[in-house]
Amino acid sequence: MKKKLTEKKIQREFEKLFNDLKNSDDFIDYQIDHGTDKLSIGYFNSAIDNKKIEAFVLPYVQEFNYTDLEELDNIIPIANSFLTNDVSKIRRNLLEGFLFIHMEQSEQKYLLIPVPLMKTRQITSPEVEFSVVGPKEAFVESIDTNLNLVRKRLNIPELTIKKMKVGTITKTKVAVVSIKGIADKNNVDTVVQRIQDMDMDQVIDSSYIQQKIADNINSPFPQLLDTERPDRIAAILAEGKVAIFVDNSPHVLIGPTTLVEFFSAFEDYFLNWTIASAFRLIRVFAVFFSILVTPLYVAILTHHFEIIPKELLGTLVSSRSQVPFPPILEAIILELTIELLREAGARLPTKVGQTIGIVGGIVIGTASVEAGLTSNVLLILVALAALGSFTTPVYQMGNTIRLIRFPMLLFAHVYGLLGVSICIAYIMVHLLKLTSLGRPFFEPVFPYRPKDLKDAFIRLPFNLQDKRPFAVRSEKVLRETSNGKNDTS
Amino acid sequence: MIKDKDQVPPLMAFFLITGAQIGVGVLSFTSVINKYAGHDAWISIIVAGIIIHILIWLMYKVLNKYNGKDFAAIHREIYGKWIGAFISIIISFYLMFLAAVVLRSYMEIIQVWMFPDVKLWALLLLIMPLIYYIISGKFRIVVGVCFLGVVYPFTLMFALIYPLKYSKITNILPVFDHSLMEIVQSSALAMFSFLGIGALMIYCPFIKESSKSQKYAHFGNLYTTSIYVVVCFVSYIYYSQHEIKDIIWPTLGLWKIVELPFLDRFEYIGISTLFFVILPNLALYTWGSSRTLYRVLHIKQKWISITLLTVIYFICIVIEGREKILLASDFITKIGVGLLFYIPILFVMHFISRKVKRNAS
Repeated sequence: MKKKLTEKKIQREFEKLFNDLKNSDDFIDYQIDHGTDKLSIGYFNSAIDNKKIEAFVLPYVQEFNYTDLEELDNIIPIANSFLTNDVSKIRRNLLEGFLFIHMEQSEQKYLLIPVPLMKTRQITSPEVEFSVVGPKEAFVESIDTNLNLVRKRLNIPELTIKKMKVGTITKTKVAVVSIKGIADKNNVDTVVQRIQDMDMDQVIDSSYIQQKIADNINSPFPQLLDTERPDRIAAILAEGKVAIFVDNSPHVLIGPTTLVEFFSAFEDYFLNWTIASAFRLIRVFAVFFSILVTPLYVAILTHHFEIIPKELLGTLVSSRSQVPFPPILEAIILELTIELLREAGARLPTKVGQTIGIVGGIVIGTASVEAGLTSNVLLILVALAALGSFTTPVYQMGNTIRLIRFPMLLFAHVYGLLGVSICIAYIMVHLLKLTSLGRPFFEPVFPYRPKDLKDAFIRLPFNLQDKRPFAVRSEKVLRETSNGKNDTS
Repeated sequence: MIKDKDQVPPLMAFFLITGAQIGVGVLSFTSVINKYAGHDAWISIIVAGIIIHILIWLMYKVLNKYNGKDFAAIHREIYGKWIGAFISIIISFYLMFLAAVVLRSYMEIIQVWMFPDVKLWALLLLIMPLIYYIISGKFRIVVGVCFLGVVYPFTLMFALIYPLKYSKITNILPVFDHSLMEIVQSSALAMFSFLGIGALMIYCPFIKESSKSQKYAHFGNLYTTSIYVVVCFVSYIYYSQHEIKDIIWPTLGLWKIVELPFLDRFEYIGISTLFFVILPNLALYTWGSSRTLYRVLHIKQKWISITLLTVIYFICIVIEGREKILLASDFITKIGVGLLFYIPILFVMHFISRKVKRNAS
């Protein structure tokens, strides 16, 4: 009696499942005669690969002899197929690109066979973090391909991957990758915990996770580094950090990170250390220049023109003599123009974008100076500042630098150089307060760790970097080397 | 007990001591301390520095005895609940007032040199949230501000190379031209520039293995002394003694002579950079004040900080004009030096209280 009841219940559940599935027009099911028995096959047309069904499923179903699904399971040459009668499992797997086969006689058993359609972009060269020398591979949108790109660089058993699914609607696959024995366990646990605690219905890209699990979600500074270079991920994992892969996202997140890491391009490691260090210093200088130059212009011309020596003042005055606006208005007009150009350039297709660049850079620039709206000195400074902000190797940090210039301008207008000082103090305290996965973000400047300065503003040669950075709190501080005894086989 | 995560390494004692000591005084002290010792006043600084070394040593003697305890707890143990609380509250009010005077003195320089008609209440409205932002976080942030406030303004020292071109070494000769008494009298005045070390007793529990930090604290004081001696030395060979008497901020005058192809009037840069020198003072004093009050009153530190900053804000607005500022800073430095003498008293008192307790048991 009881058995019958449960059977009825299951029957009802299956009916409900099929009714639900048939709501969507891309769900296909049909029946085939097999001897005396009837086979039904069903799948989501948009999730499966038709060619696989034609080559590996249908021929075997039709031509071979079998009496039940288990035998059929053995015949079909596809791995990872299985038998089940769990309704929710069937539903989930169908959506992920499985097809089911059901025999009328074999009760409520369903054979599920994976035939997913795996269409991804080809692996191309990195676009955001392009480098002239070094590997030319970049991540793509498929998490399996991305993991493979890293696994082939780090083919050691210690590389551990923890997979999760987040997003109540999207059910996005997320993988937390680290090297066991090198990465700090606390860091890995923090990342896993934070991703598990995430409360979101949709995770479309890794940046969703970045914004959701950041230590301070209101800070304009990105607290997790994102990269599209598998070589960078491999190097950083070997350093003891944790990487977060997200399906459908070509950007992989890295934590914990520090502020200086945002100014190091991965190309720095491919060049001789003297050259790489010089480039890094130039980048740091460019960032300071980019943030400070227009506020200083406004501060000095509004409040303390005495600072400028007589000879230079002449040049400045003659270039500003036609301008009817106060320096702050002049600076904001130009800065906004540059931001407009940048936004327009970013939203438009490449070819049109180039035209916009020419129109903006040459035509608007020259015209506004000739019309007497801005001084040409400021035009040069703003253009240089824009150039400077492009030198940051990580795009997100470039955006931050774009933004923090504006409050600085206002401070400079109101209180001159003192205002600039106050604004810098605010930013500095903010940076002191920031953490990345609970580790200080301003390291190695503060907390002051001279040993980590070896790979911060400059990059010293590899043989001096025998220890992993302290900021990572690696479980194995010393980098183990082979002492010249490399495998020659 | 303070958690391990919130503690800072012993090295930071260096920056905490220096950050608390160097402040706006660095602009004006050279024309104050020469009252008795004249051009030999730089020796007075060294004497004052040595006295401060002794005081730091005494403080660590007391602190090491009361392992990992701060002012409030030590006071309570020595004097009992009520008197201990009373002394702690006095000290925290002193720190608050000191912060207000430091801020007001800096504002005075701003008013005189940069913005004669600045609206003080508006400018302070920008600065007060900054201080709150610093002290509302962990103690680590205050230490970070001290660190940056010591490292970054060090670049200003290079500006002292320029006045050397126009200076006469004969201004400072002959050395030891004054009696020992005069030098000691001047060093009493020089002590004003070393105030703020008492805060050590408040933040000590926040330093990892605080007994190890003693070395760094002494180094911090040594650094301060050498900075003062260098500034003093350059000032005295640049100005003659009867010239410097009438100058309120001689160091600004030293900066004025700096000449770069793209830069005149370096003192504007100097004064703006000095903001990073006074920021550690403000942060450390207000933090120390609020922390001590919190330890005594057990009200949330957040509310104490907000109240303190509001009081500091109004003190700064009320003190208006050169005379009042001088009066206030004279008053607070006198109390400050008085409190420096409190350290030996505390040292003696802790011996007595130990004896008494041992006898009682």
